[in-house]
Amino acid sequence: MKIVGVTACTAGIAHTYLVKEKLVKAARDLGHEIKIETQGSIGTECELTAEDVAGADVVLISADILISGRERFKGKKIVELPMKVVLNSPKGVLNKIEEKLKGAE
Amino acid sequence: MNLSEIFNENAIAVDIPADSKMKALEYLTDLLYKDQAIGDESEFLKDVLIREGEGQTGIGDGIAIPHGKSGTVRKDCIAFGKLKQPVTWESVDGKPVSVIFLFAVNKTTDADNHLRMMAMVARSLADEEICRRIKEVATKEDVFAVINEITAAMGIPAVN
Repeated sequence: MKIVGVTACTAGIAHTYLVKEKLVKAARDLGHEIKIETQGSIGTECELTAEDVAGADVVLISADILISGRERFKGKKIVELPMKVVLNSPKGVLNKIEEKLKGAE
Repeated sequence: MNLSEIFNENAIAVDIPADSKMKALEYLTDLLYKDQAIGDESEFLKDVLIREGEGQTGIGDGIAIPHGKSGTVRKDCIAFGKLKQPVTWESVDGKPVSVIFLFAVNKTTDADNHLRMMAMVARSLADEEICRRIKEVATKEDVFAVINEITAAMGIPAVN
């Protein structure tokens, strides 16, 4: 799968970056391509370009707050993932998403 | 840059005798206050608890990352605590917590470098090996040894 996504937590100090790291590690272990933008206290990093979004199979949003730039994902398959679900089982979550995408074809 | 800079060396404790989440937070907050990293204990704790109310800070496997973004923080830093026994904590896997990284950030801080270091510490906790190591620490020196490992794992050249 080609995955793009955004993480953003309330304080923007820790969870934002930890959840991204977990998603990236899990995706790489499973052989997926992944790019995750973080919207945290440092500002927006690893910003998703229109190209990134266009080429993606799925958009993952793991955020406790409203993210900015959501309009970029119009028309794409978006999966909202509570941060705690990612922290608990990042690979499980990605496998489930892959299953669902396959089933929808 | 070494991530040990963002840890408050006067707020690192192993063997904390707290028997509840609140007591553990109070213990670490007290260390931060004694170091003058924060100006007011109850205001800081209030802000920590606000964040607690917004979502689980227990990230699984006995580790928690509570944080206080507070006007009373004078020095952005991380306090570290290992508890004598695990305490109940709202965590993603329902397990009790024995290791705490308490982040203290000034509400209006614009010190990007501080925030970057904190983000790196947070990211390092996605690594199972780092999590395993941090739960084994028995002394302050052990804690700093793990911090050095985290620094290396994050690809930061160590400067001694």
